[in-house]
Amino acid sequence: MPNNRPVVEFKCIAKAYDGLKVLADFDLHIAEAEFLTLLGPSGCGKTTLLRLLAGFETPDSGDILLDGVRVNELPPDSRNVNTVFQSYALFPHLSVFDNVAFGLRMKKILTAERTERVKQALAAVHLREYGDRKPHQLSGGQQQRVALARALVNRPRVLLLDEPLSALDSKLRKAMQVELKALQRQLGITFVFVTHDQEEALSMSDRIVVMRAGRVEQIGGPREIYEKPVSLFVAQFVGESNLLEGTVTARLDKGSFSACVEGVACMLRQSKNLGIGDCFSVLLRPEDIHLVDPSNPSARLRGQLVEQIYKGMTLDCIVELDSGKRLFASEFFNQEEHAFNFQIGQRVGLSWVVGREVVLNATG
Amino acid sequence: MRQVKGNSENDFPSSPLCKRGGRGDFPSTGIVPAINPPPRKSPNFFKTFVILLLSFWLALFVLVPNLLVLTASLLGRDENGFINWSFGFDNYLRLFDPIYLRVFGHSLGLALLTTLICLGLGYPFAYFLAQFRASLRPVLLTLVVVPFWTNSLVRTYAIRSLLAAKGLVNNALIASGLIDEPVRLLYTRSAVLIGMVYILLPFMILPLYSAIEKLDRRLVEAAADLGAGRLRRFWHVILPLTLPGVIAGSVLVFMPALGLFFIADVLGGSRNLLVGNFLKDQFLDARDWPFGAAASIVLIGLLFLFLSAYAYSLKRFAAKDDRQAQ
Repeated sequence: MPNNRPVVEFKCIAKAYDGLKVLADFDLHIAEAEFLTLLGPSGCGKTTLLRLLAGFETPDSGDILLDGVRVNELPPDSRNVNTVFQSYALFPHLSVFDNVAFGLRMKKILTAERTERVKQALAAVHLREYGDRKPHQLSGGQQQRVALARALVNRPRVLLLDEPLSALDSKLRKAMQVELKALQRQLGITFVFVTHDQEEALSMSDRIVVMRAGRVEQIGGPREIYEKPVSLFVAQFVGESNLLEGTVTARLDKGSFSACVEGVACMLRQSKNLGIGDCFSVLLRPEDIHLVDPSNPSARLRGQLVEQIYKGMTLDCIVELDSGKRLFASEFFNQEEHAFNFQIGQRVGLSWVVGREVVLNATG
Repeated sequence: MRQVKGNSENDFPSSPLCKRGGRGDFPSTGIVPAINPPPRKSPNFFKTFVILLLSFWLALFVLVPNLLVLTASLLGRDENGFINWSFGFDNYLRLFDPIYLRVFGHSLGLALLTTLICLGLGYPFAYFLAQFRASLRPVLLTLVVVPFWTNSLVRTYAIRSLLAAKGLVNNALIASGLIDEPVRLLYTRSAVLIGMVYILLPFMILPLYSAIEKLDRRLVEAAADLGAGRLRRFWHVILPLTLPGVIAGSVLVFMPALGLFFIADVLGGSRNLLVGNFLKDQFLDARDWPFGAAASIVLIGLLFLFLSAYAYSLKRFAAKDDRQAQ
């Protein structure tokens, strides 16, 4: 990070609507020029956080600092922060050009510079020729770009994006993800992105804040969030996951222990302080599980192949363990490996590289 | 424009086991639910009947009377039988007498002033009404309409008793020590204006309210986000987007304001003659039907022009909405 002082600081923020707590004791620092994603299910307070930062809401207690200055009561029109709304909120009575020029006009930027900057902004979102159109003449993706240009043209300190891609179809969404990330890198503007789509969060963010019921559940890079979730909640929310129940049976040296997982003895890597007899959950990502012959020594669990779904890139398998629990495994096609030839109904073994599993407290 | 986000309900990525384990997700077996055949077009007798009935009604009570008025306006006056059969445009030419032109001008000015005052009062009122809790709004809206339950003539007489020399307003002013002598309120232009505004204000509030209520609050937020202060949010976003309501309300106030005669009669006395009073006088007092008819036709023509402008503006807005809805 080029600058040590955070652009945005949330200090002990609390916010309630009609007595219902949305945020409680919320602390967060947002660094200069980072792409930060607020990820969580609806109602976790992520949008409220964004609205607090934009100035549409005021916190019940705590402070919001923007560049070190307390902005709690500063109205939205006086903050150097712009928002890309989920609904885009383009002005229907103004042309695309005038929509983008709106913020500059409000700041009384002279016509010549205004025109130049609007043109640049429209070019940046590949809508150079669309200035004369009205918003309703554009497709959803184009409207989204106009909303982006309208916010970015003001060169805000922080750009707030409230689920801006949720209304787009998946192909367009993927393309926009790449473009957003590129724009952010190129402009060096701090982006705060709100989403409930974990894939979106993983693919774009420098840091992800996983939120749950108005609190921070975990903060970390995409890789950390995905590979080392701190709780069951994060594990289940981010990515597809299999969860197995286990009990510690014996502690081994070198940070591993043996346990009874789904009724089968297993050796696991340990990062947590678990005592003998403690219950825990094991998280296994589908792509980490490999199907092997049940007699293969690397097989750590055994079960029956219940279903195979051909996905093009992967072959997804559902395996029912002897305990009755169903596991989901994604097998990538690999030309060098022997052909995958298990039949539905056949007994299979499941193996994974030791250490790929994540041991979590059962209470999560 | 507003698009519903795809999977807001389904925020938790459902477990792969439930998602793929179920039978529902597997390739369809080819049994597609039969598409319902489109409803057969049957001759809709009811529709035809209603349209015919309405057409007949309008022809009998709107078209025919107006044609009669038009005919009368082209005929001469007769002392005994109201009209005689001497064809000509004399009646229209007589209207150009400065006295009558002044009455027209006076009426137009008063109607315009009424409309502006109603707009000035009605817009903030409708705006704040639309901010109330959704559960409270119908009640408040009903309160706006409640005066309609009493005949407007009766209410005009009520205003008269308020404004009279020994009326409530004067008494209150004297009691408060602001004035010593009763002020002349009744039988002034202001009295007519007050009466007009009072009677017509709901016609302004209702269309304004419906336009303001439909306004997407997020657009106002977006304007604030882009640096627009209160006043500029109103001027650049709220007002342009509620313009259809402004136009509708203005037409609904302006047109009756031109034609209403009893308010000027009751509150304005003989000195405040409006087009409506003039028409009434020609038919009921002066018994000059052809002349009154000519004045009516001119007034109708004028209103028709206003209505066309209104319809045109509505059409433009409607076309916009249609395209937005796509």
